[in-house]
Formats: sequence, C-alpha cells, structure tokens
Amino acid sequence: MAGGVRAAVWILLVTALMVQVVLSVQLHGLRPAIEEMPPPPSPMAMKAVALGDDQFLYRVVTQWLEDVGDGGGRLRPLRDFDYDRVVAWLKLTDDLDPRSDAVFQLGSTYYGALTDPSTAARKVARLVDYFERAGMADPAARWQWLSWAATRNQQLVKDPGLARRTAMDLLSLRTSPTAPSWLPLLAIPLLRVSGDNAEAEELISDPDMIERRRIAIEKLKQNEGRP
Amino acid sequence: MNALAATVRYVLLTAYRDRLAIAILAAQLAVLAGSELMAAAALSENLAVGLATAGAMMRAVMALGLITFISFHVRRMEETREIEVILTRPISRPVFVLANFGAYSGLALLLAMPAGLLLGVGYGAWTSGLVEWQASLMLECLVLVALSLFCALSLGSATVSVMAATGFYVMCRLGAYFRAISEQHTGMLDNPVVDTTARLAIEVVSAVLPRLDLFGQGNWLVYGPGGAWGIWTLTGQAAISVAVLLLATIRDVGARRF
Repeated sequence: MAGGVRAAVWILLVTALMVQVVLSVQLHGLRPAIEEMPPPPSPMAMKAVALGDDQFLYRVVTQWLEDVGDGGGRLRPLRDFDYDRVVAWLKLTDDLDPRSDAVFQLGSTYYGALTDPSTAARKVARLVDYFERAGMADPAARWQWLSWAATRNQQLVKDPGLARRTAMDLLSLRTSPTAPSWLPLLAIPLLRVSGDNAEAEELISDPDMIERRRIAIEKLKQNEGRP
Repeated sequence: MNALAATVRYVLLTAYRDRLAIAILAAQLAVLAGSELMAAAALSENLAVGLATAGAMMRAVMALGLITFISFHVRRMEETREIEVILTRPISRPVFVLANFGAYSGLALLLAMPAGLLLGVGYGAWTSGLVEWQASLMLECLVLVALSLFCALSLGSATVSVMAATGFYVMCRLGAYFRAISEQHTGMLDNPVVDTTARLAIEVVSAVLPRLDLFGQGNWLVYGPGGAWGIWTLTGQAAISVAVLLLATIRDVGARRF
C-alpha cells in the first residue's frame, strides 16, 4: 500500500471512529427498553426450547424471572407486574425440575415480598393460592411453601375463602405420616381470618392440637439449646 | 495402517496450526467464568445454576467448535487438492473416510476431556453424575464428528456445511418434541390432507433422527445419574448414528464427489 493511501485509510478510520463517538453521545439519552414478561409458552414449546436439557432451561428461566423487568438501569416495580402471568411462569418453570425449590425461593422472597398497600394483598393472593396447591401436592417435600402460604395469607392477604381452604387442607394433614406434625397448627389463625372463630377456639382446646403444640415447643427449645 | 497414521498425524498437525485446542480451551474457561457469574447472581441453589449453565454451554462450545473446524478443514483439503493427492495413493475411499473419522474423533475426544475436568475443579463436583455427563459428551462428539464429516464431504461449501450440520444437530435435539406435538395433536393445520401429511413427515423424520436430546443432561450434574435411560442406551444410539452417517459419507464420496 502506497504511503498516501495508507495515510488516507488512517484518516478515514480515525474520522469514522470520531463520528461513532459523536453518534454515541447523541444517542446517550435513548435508554434501552425494559424487558416485559410475555405470556408463558405451552409446556411442550417450553421443553422444545431446552433442546433436551431441561435442567439448563430451568436454571436460565429461573434467573430470567429474577431479572425480568430490569433494563437500562431502571426497575419496573413489582406492583406493575401481572401476577397471574408470574404464577403461570413459576408453574411452567417448576415443571422442568420438580425436585428443586429455586422457583419457590424466588416466588416467596422476590415476588412475594411485595408490600405496596394498594395491590400487595390482591397480587400476593395469586402466589399464596399457587404455593398452597403445590405444597398440598407434595407436603412431605414442600411443607415449607405450604407454611409460607399460610402465614402470608394470615399476615397480608387475609382472603377469607383462601384462608378457609388452606386451613381445611392443613387440618387434613393431621393423618399424614410425612408432613411435619406442627403444620396443622397453622390452621387456627387462618380460621380466624376466614371468620370461623368458634371453630378456631374449638381447635385450640382440642387435645390432639395441644399435644402437637407441646411437641413443637419442645423441638423449638431443643433447637435453641434451651432446657 | 500407514494411511490411517498419516491422516491422524495430518489432522492433528492442522488442528495445532489452526489453534483449535487453544480456542476450545479458552472458550471452556470463559464458559466456566460466565457460569460462575450466573451462579453468583442466583437467588438460591447457586451451585446447581453454575453446573447446569456450564454443562450446557460447554456442550455448545464443543458442537460449534467441531462442526466449524471439520467443515473448513475438509474444504481446505479440497481447495489445496490434498484429498485428490491422498486418493491417488493406494487407499480406498472407505479407508479414507474411516481414517478421517478416526483422526477427527481422536481430536474431539481429547478436546472434550477438559470440559469435565473444569466442571470438577471449578465446582468441586466430582460425582458419578459428572462421569456420566462426560461420557455422554464424548459420545455426542463422535456423532458430531460423523455428522460434520458427512456434511463437509457432501456439500461443496464450508459455510453451507456449517449451516447444514448445525441445523441437523438442532433438529436431532428437537425431533422428539416435534413427534410429541404431532402425537398429542397440540398443533393442527386447517387442511386435513396437509395436516396428515405433515404428521406423517414428522413421524418419518423424527424416526430417522438420532435422539441427541437424551445426551448431556444437566440433571446428571445437579442430581447424579438418572432418567429412564443410561450410558448404554446412549452408546447404542451413538454407534448406530455414527455407522449410518459414515456409510452415507462413504457412499457419497464414492459416487459423487471424488
């Protein structure tokens, strides 16, 4: 390459780079769009996307559910999310790996942490409903999410119908050999939420429930190293 | 035997010259670093996130690396007329194909070894699941080598070969799902004749495609060996696929191109 041509190439290259810098400065004000949560695909389409490796897709989608709504340094508040859609995604993702708790960790500590006074009760009720059903499907493995659903309903959601259904489900676990023995105790405050105070009082004085409470307190003391 | 040794030596030398090993090792290290980052960002079950991500990405690195290298390597052999020179020696076309397959396979198996080692060192996951995953990756690499060799020797262009082999690989991982969609009637076309024909075509195509979706399960890395199939099923699948692809390549080399 002749000296003149080489110099011209250098000049053009530096000029092009400078133009790029100027364009970047001009475009600085345009912020990237926030990624929206789309409606979930069908279970079959979801599995096809995994290309045979469900575990990889499970981890990627769980991570995506943690990040979606965050873009270009901006955050979409949880109160603006469609929680029916959130639950549909959580359920679809859980089907990829029913042995993992990551979806429930995400649902409880992230989406379930909504505190907005005008929307929290209504939106978290969707999660409570899903957690309760998932917990009842396998109480031995997922009792902690059943417990989360019960306490979240008692403290935040306060939905009488949902509270009644959860209370009845928890009481049905009294005969379960695999669920923790203290779990049915959570039914009592839920019955108060549903307005069934007489039933709650009856359960408080029920000998079986008293024994369960005693065992639970004993275990708590043991765990805390107290006599 | 001389032809085989010479071919193996030639492939290893050109792979060294193309810095294939360094490129794949660098990509595997980058995958390990990226997966560690993803694991650190996860809300829970960080180790499982890292293992599943690293496993899938390392498999993708191997697939793309092998397909690209073999496609362009064969193309260069054609352009420099090395294939014609090799075939002027007392070497039959089947031996030529088998020698190349042997050489590329040896290389692929060597390059696949660090994947499991990196997962073991990076995540301390020295489990039977890792052993099964590593064995599965090596079997998948053998199928990929046979597939790439078939595409590279059958198609005139390296670019077309890369695209065809990648497309075929993705199809092999999707075939079972297309079949399930067809069987469950979750996707239907308006015209019944077209619908039935499409279903029949899917049935036939998915029956012919190797079930590569069963290979390299991230579940094995996270929970240990499991599933309704084991390494012997995968070995059988790999042996059949490699045999079919090599026979097709031998037929093509003999009948069409050289």
